[in-house]
Amino acid sequence: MESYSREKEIVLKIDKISKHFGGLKAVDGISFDLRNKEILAVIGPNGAGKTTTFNLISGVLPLTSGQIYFKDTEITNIQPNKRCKMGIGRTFQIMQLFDDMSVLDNITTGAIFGHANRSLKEAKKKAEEICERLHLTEYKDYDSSELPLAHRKRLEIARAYATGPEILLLDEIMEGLNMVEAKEMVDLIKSIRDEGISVISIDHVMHTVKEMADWVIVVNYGQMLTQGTYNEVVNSPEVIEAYLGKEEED
Amino acid sequence: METFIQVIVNGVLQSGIYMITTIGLAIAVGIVTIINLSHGEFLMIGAFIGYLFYQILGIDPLISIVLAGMIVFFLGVVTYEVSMKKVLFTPEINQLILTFGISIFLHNLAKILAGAKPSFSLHPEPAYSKAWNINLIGDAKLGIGISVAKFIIFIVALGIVIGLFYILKNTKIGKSMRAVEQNRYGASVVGVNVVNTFRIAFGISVALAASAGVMLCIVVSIDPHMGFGYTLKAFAIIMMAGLGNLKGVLWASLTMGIIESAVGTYVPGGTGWSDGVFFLIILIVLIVKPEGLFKK
Amino acid sequence: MKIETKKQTEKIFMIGGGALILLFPLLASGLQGTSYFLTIGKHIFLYATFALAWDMLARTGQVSFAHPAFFGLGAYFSAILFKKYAVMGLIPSMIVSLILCMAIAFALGIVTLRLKGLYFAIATLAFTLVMQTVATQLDGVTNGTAGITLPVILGQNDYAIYYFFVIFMGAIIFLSEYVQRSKYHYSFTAIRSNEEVAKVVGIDIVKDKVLIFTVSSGIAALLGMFYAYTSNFIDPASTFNLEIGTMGLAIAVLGGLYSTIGPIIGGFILVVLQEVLSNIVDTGYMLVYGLVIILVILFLPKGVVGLWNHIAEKKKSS
Ligand SMILES: Nc1ncnc2c1ncn2[C@@H]1O[C@H](COP(=O)(O)OP(=O)(O)OP(=O)(O)O)[C@@H](O)[C@H]1O
Ligand SMILES: [Mg+2]
Repeated sequence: MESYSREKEIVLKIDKISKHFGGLKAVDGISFDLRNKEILAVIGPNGAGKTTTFNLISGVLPLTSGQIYFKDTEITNIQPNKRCKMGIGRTFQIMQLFDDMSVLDNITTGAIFGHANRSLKEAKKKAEEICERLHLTEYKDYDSSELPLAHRKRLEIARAYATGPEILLLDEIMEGLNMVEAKEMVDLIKSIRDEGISVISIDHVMHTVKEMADWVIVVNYGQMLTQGTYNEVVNSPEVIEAYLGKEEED
Repeated sequence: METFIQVIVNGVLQSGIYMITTIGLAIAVGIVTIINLSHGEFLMIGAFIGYLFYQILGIDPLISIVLAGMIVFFLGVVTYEVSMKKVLFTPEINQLILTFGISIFLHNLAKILAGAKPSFSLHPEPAYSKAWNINLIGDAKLGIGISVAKFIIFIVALGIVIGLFYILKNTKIGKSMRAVEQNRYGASVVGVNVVNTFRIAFGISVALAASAGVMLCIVVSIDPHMGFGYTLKAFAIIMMAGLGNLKGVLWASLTMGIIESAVGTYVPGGTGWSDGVFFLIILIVLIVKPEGLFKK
Repeated sequence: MKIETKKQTEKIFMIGGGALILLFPLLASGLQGTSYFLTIGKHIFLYATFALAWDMLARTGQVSFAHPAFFGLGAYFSAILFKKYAVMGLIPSMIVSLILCMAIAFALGIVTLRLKGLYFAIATLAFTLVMQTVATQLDGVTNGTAGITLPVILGQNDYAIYYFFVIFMGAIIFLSEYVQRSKYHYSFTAIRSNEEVAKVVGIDIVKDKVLIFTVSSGIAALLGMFYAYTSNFIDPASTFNLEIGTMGLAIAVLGGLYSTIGPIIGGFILVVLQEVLSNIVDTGYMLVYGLVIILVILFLPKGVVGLWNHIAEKKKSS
């Protein structure tokens, strides 16, 4: 762990990005980068600006200032659908499934329009495969709204993964999972990483961060407090302060 | 110059009706979160209540404003209970379609009840329905006409608006309504009876339309089809004001009232164009500035 | 399992209904009042096709009230070019009219793109009302409320007109089914469910929304022209007619939204119902449309098709 080397190609470069909602600086000049085939965990208290950062990277919200680069291309002002086509996939913390569609169709939709650019037939086949891999086959004809919660989380991931991303943004996918489910999820994320996909995972659950994150960044009040490996970060005084504050709240 | 003043006066007077109709609709949209395409039909019902009470029972329409408001309040509560309630949390398209259906139902029902007669106006006119000329610069020829009826209506409408703002600000139900508008889940946590608030808010919403209807029956002839136009105009004014901006509704109503009156006067064949211009403005506002023109 | 029942339902309806539609004129040819029945047939196909076009757009979640405007514009552009100023033949005038209408729809689609739900509905309604006013007021060009008298095509032959509308409906059914089986089905449904997320999975919602708005409005324009040249006369009230929009909406809702077969079945039921009612009462029969819409949304949100599927499934599982 300690010997993790970041001497790898930068796939995503975040340069002093900010997002202000009126007077509220939800994201306030954050910079970091994501390396190829890396699992990067973003941690920080509630309201720190983590989800907002994802919204900026995926293009759901326009930036107040700053730049975002995907590999060598600046994507700061590019439409979200184009970013997906370029290879940025994401899940939503508050799950946003297509309610009028079956589970399988949700995944198929990702497979058709994403980065992979498949024909309808290929997309359908791919969706079946992903269903199988994420243990959703049994439910594939369910309306996505009828799905039990833990499965809905997996469906979120399945749809994002089906877009064939090079970068996958995961927003609190560990939340509410029991130990066994969390372990499975960690293995899944690692196997996705091993396929060559770089992952940013917003995560509140420290033991899963410890198990899977190659690199950790800590944000609070819209700013980055520190970054490093898991051990470096958890021992840093700023983090202890920020997080102890949070633990007490819970 | 006199024409110009006349145009402004007419527009301002007309805007009172728009104000209460539209604030009513704004309550339905903003607080109950019902997109009520049948709003204007309650105005039409109010107009007929005013007409019938006058013709049959001899009740002055100014009194019927209150009576119709009460009757239609209950009609609204019933409508809410049997239909609207069931689409509150369904996709917006269901609300649009349902309330559109209610609109068609109500105005055709009125059409059947009204029979062959195309339109209705008070006969004999109430005493105050006479023109009253204010002389400008002391010259009788340069006078501008103010209809007393329209003037009274405008004052009553303003009174209703002030009363309503007072209720929203100072009474328990008003506070609940605003709490629900801010955050319906939060409101239920702090002990607001959300279900009851919705019911009452919807009743008030259509009661306002009905009282506007009664006012209309005093100054224009009424017919079963009059409602939908007001639904559209009320929505249009809301969009101009910006959703959720009650004070903006007042300014937008004034603006549209004056524009409408100006088009009617200055454009050749004007009255035929005035509705078209009204909706053209709305279309442009929606396209250019969908968040509304007026500051909150 | 669900999906299979659905397909079977559609098949039964398609084959049974198709045969009935094609053979009806032959069966009816001996009877009295054939021409009356053929005219009702024409109305069914006209409104069912109109509703189907409207539904194809509704699949993206856009409730449009602009269809009556395009119905009217289609009729008027062609009538003005062909009849009033006689600057071109019938077919060219229809082509030009279609192109103009689709260009206007394209522009309107782009400028109303940001608007959702209520805002879109009001904007399109406003558009229809503006067009209605223009058609009425610009009487130098349109003859205003006096209207334009037009020749009737296809030799005024009721059989030919009947089959003409059947063929056009068939073509739109074909188009709709193509959409349902293509990528667009997924993109439309996704857009309807959640535009933000649709973008994030790579759907170009601007392109898809504008495309279907243009196509759907174009179909309404064609129907307006066909209506004009089979009815002998048009005026603003009969063409820029919100009631046509209402009927389209009610038909699609009753039959079952977001399907091909729904609007077709809804068209049959409501047009026949209207015909029967208008023979009983002479005014206000639209009341029933209102009632149908209310009851269906409250108690049968998936329409007749949904009900049928539900029953078929129950039978199977018991
Ligand atoms: N669309 C928005 N409009 C206004 N304020 C917003 C919006 N989105 C987020 N915020 C505010 O920005 C701040 C950061 O929110 P964000 O969702 O990014 O936090 P987070 O780190 O993801 O928190 P959590 O751990 O609770 O998910 C919060 O104060 C939030 O209320
Ligand atoms: Mg978050």
